[in-house]
Amino acid sequence: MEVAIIQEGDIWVLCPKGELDAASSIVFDEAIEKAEAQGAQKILIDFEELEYISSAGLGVILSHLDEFEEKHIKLAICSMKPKVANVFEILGVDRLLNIYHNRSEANAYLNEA
Amino acid sequence: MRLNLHIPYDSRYLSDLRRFVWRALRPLELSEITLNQLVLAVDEVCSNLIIHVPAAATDRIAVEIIVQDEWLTIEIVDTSGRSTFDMKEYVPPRIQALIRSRRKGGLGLRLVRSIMDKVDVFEREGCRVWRLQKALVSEKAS
Repeated sequence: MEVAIIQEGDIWVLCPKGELDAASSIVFDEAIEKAEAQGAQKILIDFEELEYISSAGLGVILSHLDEFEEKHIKLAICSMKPKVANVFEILGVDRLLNIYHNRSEANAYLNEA
Repeated sequence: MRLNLHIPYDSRYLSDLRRFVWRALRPLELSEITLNQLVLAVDEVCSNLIIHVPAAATDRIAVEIIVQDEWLTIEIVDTSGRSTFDMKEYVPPRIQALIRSRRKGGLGLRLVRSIMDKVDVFEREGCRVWRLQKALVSEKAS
């Protein structure tokens, strides 16, 4: 798995590609930490090219939420394939996150005052 | 139908494991979401075994997929010789507590129990066996 990191204005966009599992979750975690270390206040995780996610991937996202809240970092997630979205739904994690159908909806949320 | 795979206690082999399960179950004509859930359940159990494997373990994890009488049974045999695990004592972690603790793990078994109809863990011939079962009748894609 690889994670492209793109800065679009004040939004840091992370684009994981491939399969996010116990072996690759560290790469995803490092990408989030990199964005945080650079001072990101708005992070968008675009899952359009993600084919698979396990609890390791979900765990990485959840492990950052408390810190994001503390640092007032806004997080949005978008463009999940149905089988990826289903993994969030099984655990009810989808209700705790700001998940959008596409990047423009996610950007609109992140750019809200 | 009976299919077997043996993988090392190494997370680099998890993608091979997922492909094996996916190919084995594809002929059952399940929906894409159900198929992904079943692959995920096997991945979660094996990931857990790999992450917590005793350092001295040199053997392999044995995975057997059995389809019989409208039931899918997946047996995952942990040959590392660790002590048994009592599923009855397992308490699923609360999501909010996980978030506050900033822990990265802890959701795998909860996912497995949500996906499968039956999850049993028992000992057989000195190995710990995880038996995951799913009734197939209601799961066939329409």
